[in-house]
Amino acid sequence: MRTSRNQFLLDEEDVPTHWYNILADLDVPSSDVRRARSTPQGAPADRKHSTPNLPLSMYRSSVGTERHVKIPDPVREQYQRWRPTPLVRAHRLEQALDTPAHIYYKYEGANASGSHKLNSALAQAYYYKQAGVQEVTTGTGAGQWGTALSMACHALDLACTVFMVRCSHAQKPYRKVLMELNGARVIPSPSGTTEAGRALIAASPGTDGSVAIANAEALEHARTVDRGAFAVGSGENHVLLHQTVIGEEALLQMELAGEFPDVVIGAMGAGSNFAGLAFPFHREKLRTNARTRLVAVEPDACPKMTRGRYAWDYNDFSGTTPMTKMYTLGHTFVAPGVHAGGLRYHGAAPLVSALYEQGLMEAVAYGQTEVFEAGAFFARAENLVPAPESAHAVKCAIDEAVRAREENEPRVILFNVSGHGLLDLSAYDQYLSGGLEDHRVSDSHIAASLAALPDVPDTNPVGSRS
Amino acid sequence: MLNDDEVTSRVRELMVESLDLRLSPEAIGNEVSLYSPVIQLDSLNLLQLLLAVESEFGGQIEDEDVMEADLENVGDFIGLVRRHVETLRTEAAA
Repeated sequence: MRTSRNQFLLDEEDVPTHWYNILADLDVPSSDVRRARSTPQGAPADRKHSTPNLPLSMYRSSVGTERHVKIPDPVREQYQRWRPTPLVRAHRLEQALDTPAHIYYKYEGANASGSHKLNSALAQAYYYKQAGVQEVTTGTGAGQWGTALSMACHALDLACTVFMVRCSHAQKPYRKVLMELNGARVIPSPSGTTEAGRALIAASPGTDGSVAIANAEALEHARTVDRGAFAVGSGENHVLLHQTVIGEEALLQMELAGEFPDVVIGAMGAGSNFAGLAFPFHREKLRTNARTRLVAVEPDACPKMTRGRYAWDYNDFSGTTPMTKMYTLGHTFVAPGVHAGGLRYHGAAPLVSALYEQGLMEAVAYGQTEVFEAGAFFARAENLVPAPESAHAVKCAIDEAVRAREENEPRVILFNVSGHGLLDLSAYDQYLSGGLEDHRVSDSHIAASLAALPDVPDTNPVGSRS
Repeated sequence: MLNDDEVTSRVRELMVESLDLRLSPEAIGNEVSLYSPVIQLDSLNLLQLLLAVESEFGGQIEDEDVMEADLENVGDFIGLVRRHVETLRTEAAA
């Protein structure tokens, strides 16, 4: 094969027919699955009805141990409109770094939503529509998830209401436009439209907002709507399941390239793009005894894996959602307003958390300035501007490549460019003008939010990993 | 296959087991609200309970049946399960 080949492309018939369920290959104690609230806080006293926020069929496939879950034909047909996505050999980046490493990236930004989020948005919209839901509500950080969900809802004739984190609503106005273009109602969060929002505004008028707060508002709003349901873009088992199309395709493409990665890297918000790429490689590691490292990259403004605690915690700010065991900074944690809004969530997905807790993956954290430096370097080398979130993975990949050079040890690096940065150019502008600030969160800030963790037995102290 | 009374009895037992209730199945009357402090049903443990029902009786409950069910009290939930079991009986007889 020509070693200078740039792209490893598949035919649309190669779009996976099944998602990969890591529960078949990961030992998660049954006591560590999601549990309901320890107290009935947050539930309206006069509640008379409850319908699941998740369609039963979607929940069923996400908690079972069936290794491969069939992708519904209508969802796969939607995927075939832009998938398989390309795997690219970053020759120019390798040359710029003068590294013996072979660098590959999986590019998920070429659909209209600009990111990998559409993989789960379409699947979820399908299941919600099948279940008779008429309006889907959600919270979004930088807006990629809200954009994807608005597109998916429009495609399936579902109404959509998106609560967008306030600081990102200001920083990324064109994502709001994209959502509204697809018929969604977009509300900056915290807002005055919900009790949760009003309470937070009263307590902290100048808050930047957070995805946890936006989710709390979206959840509250869903309860007021007939046949409404609240959907999330990351963290939940089913979301990670849907995203494994990324890694399943990448496995085929790496085979075309004749190589297998020594390290697989993804940015870490709640974990959907990292898991989407990494989980299928975890399966292959087990099958072949490969020594591939899986590395999640988070901002030091929201370091849940590297400085958080493995504990039971709520998924939303108001403590209304059932608890999840996860690496968390505490559900009341509000990260500084860095541009990577999609990485500002307080908790890691339970499945990613379990993988990390068991020592089966690694995590690193970087500051905003060095991330944008890496993103700009990549953009110049590869003619592709990565989203600020994806730039975290870029930074880690570059560090791996530099280490390969310094150690004179070739290695194969694979990372996920989960989205493009064309709607984040104001952030790059700020970087170019020297106006970016780093926001490494202090120990006292973390300690304060961890103090608000629900009092549930078997909470592990900070830094403990089995 | 179980008759309706047996289904009802087993559903009450499943509720105690799945929801970790601190009372006997016989104490869960049809009129008890699912959202009372006694039961504290929420969207997650409803899903967990439905999977327990599927595991117990077989088959898969349709998403729309769950959405359509007007689940106010224990009796409503038992009704949902009895309709599911009836569907299984009909399919088995066909």
